[in-house]
Amino acid sequence: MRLLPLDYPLRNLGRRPGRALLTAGCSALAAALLVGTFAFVRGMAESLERSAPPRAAILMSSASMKDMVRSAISPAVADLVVADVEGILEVGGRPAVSPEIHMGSRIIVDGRPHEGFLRGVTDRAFLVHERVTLVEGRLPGAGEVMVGRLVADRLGVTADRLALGRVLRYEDADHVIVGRFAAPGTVLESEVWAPLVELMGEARREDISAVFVRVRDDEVFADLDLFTDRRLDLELASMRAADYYRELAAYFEPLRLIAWMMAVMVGLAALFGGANIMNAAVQDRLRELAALRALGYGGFAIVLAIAAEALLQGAIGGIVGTTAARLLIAGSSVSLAMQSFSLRVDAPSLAVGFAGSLLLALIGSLPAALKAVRMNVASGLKES
Amino acid sequence: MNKSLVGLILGLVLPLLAACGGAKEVEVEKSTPSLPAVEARRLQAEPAGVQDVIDLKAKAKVGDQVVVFGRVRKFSDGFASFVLTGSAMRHCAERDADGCPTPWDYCCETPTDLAAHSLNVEFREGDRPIRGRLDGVGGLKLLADVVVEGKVAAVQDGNVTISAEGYWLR
Repeated sequence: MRLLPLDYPLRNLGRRPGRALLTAGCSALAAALLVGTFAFVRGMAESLERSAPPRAAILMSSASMKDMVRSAISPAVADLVVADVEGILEVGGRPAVSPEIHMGSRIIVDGRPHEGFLRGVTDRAFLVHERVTLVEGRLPGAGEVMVGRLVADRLGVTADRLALGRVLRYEDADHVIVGRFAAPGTVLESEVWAPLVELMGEARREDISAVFVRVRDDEVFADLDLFTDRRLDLELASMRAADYYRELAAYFEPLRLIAWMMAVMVGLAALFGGANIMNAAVQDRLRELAALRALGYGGFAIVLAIAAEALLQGAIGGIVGTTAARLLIAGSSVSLAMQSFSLRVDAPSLAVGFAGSLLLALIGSLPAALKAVRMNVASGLKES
Repeated sequence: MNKSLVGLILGLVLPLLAACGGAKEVEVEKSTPSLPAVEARRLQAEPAGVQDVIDLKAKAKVGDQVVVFGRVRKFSDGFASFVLTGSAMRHCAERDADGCPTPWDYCCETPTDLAAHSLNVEFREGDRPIRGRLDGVGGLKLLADVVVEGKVAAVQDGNVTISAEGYWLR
């Protein structure tokens, strides 16, 4: 089988640079959008799922319908569960049990109110939430808080307004920021952490939201469930933390679907645009392609040359699109409901964007290639 | 762009989109669960001297031999144990037959009332409940009317645990 030389599609690009640029532009748009959508969808799902501490359960109110913000349980639960259940993990000789308050609140920064998320914790929270690391400052005491790295994005303020020493006001009290924490790839980074007892007082609560419990092995989850059945007076429900955050992620499923649908629609627009341009390119070169057929090049050689030309444009567009997405999207975050998450522009999302632009270019070239194969050589040679 | 071109592109793209729709969940046929040590305690006749949960809780002492009637509200996840709720509590399907998809959660009752009218039933071997889940075992299911015969194993802060020696499904 005789094939056209490899430089033939390459030189064709240079013959009509405007048209090649347009096709590559379509591919770049599709690639960037695919990267963005993939980064958004993965960032949302994985940030929630990674927020679950490893092998942990959440004890919350049985009446809360699995909503930690609505949950209200006795602060004594944290000690009762340690006393009654064997198999709770110990970290540094202390049981990994964290009583917490989870609540939304109006947080005032420099006189302007913003909706934010507060978590009341004790120092035991660090035994449970292993991903949380203090990156600046120290742990908060009375009248103090520490903020996650995404809190500024969540509140819609610049990072310098949440620098150490600045003041946040919520629940009618001022709080000095004394620490900044990271919890990579989780939604915890969009939270403000405050001392539990102080937050209970400020929020006028005698209860807490939930108790996080880490266990030594999976069988202990059953013991925790049995504990809630034996202590009916506490009105508790036990749930694996991984299941809780998975269900939370599933709640946003319609949003993910909409994001993908938008990506598909823009991808289709890019596909039709690219196909149209390739079709026009073949139409302009019918005489040349007929001549190639007359010289003995078969239909497959022509199809291959047109596909290679489209793939080249797709690759150029893919590189431009993924680079643009990397520069513009990476490091940014999106706020949803009470929390924020980072967009994950990593190797898999870039690969999806690049592969998507190649696939669209290939599919878009097929109508033009078929047209070239189907043409009558004699009439093609007569084309002006 | 001509019609055949549009048709070709759609023909290539739509199957891809359809393929992205996700695989259908494969339904796994559930086998009837079995816990012989529990099934062996199913009684042939209803025991005498039945009390309601709230009456029993008022005077229960550890070691008392009791017979109590109620409904299964919740199965423990991993042990042969369930929460028995007294007949004074009405689940949502009894109040509004159409509205509630999960009547066994008794969401129409207040949590405090529900706790007061409930106790824990455990099928034990030694001091520990048997490992396993009771849902579907020996006719036991959510909202089943059950008479439990057994011994009071624990009384603490208004909570009562019965170690079941036998059960009768009404």
